[in-house]
Amino acid sequence: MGRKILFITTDQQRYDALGCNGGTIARTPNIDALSRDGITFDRAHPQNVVCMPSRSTMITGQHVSTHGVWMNGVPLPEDAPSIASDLRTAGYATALIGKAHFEPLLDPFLRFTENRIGNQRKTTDNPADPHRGFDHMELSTHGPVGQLHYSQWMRDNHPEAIGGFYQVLDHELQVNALGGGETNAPQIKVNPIQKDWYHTHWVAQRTINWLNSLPADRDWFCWMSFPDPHHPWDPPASELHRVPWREVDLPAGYIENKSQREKILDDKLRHWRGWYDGTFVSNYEAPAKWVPATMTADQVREVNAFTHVENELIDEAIGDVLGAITARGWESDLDVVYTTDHGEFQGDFGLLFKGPYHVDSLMRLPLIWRPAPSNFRATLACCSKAHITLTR
Amino acid sequence: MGTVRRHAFVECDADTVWAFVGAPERLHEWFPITECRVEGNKRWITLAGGIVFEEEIVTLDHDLRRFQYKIINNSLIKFHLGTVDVIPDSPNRCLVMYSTDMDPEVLALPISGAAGVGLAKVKEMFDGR
Repeated sequence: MGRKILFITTDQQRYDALGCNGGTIARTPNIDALSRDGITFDRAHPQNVVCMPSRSTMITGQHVSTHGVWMNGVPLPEDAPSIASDLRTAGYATALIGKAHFEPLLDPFLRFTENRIGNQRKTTDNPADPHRGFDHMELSTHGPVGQLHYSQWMRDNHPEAIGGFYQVLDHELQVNALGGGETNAPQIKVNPIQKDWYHTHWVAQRTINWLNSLPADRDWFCWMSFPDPHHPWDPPASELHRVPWREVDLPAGYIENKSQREKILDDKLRHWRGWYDGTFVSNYEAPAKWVPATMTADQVREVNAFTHVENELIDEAIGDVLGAITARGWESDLDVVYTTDHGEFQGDFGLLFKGPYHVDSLMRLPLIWRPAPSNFRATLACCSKAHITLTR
Repeated sequence: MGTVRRHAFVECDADTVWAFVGAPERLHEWFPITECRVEGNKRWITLAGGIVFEEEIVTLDHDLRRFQYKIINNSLIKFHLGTVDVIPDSPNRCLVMYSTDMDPEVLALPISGAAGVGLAKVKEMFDGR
């Protein structure tokens, strides 16, 4: 029996989101167990603080200046290096399930393969030489929009639930600044969708289905990529009781005193204060019409609560997948790597979302490697030689 | 308002290139769409995902080698003007430009990206002819 590799990514998740990294709000027992049994890196950094450049680095192993995806909206060239291609060449079955985002989502001409195979409800464009080396792709973004597989699945099976999600774009097709929830925080919505229809559950179930399609002796590499806890924050309403927002402590990085907060921002490079005051757009994925200076402490609490509900759902979905892997008898040969593409302010400095602000909120990421138990001693020796910091 | 422009130098005389890109009913032969139908000064194009745009042909000037059209009857689009120009650069070389002015401005970007694909196709078809 050979090696099985489960690469788990989330989107826009802070280092301190996890219990194993000191998080005290979301309960993440499955991820914590991976940390306990593996290696937890406490200073992992992305190469860029928005999705497409960072994800392009993950798949290519290249710096942004080499792969060229310097901003969201810039597609990764189809012939860019891919870890999936390398592993497929080495005999692995390969899959990417969930959020890819190596290519733009706004694609009415279907120029990009991710959108095209979603639109065609296919899981590969070419079985003999699949896109970016993945034999199987079933893709999702942060809701049932666009052409990706989750959107098609929602349209086919639960069209009545689509309107429950936050509407990501406004009538001008700009990132929506509309508030919701009980505090009118931006990009918040109480979503009546059933938990089983939400994309976190869908990603896990699709992953299990793909794994169950493989022969027991097949080596495999599966990138399971959860779109959450990236905004919009619209988890299933049935799960909001897990983290009552009124009981959430304000994050340590949130400076409640307005004049103190603004003094700190004034001491930083000018674009910090410009964004805070709504006079400068530094990231087109954050709502340009929302002014961070207007954010209240209660809005920070509610955003944090919704985020941590999403973190708990991710942890439970991971538990489901690990259970399915154990049921296949693969547990002792399973390497698990867990990380995210970039962080989230989540109230730090009075800000939300992300952008060109190179602080721990956005730059310090969770990264856990749980080596295959059958190979653990060899892995630790390797890490020691590579001078990688071990914290557990 | 979003305004974008793409261009390509094509190693072919302007009249030959214009005879092709200046034919509104032949758009699907070079632009990344699947279907194209023209009736009078109206054109309907179908995108790969099945979206149909209804367009009004505003300018078809064979002397100027300029084609202009706008997307109409679309609740999402407040303003649109697309312009294709073919300008001679030498007896055997011309400049093909595709410009888009659009509100909502964000939609100008995918049209510009598609125009880039289309111009590359024109160049591939006509370079050296």
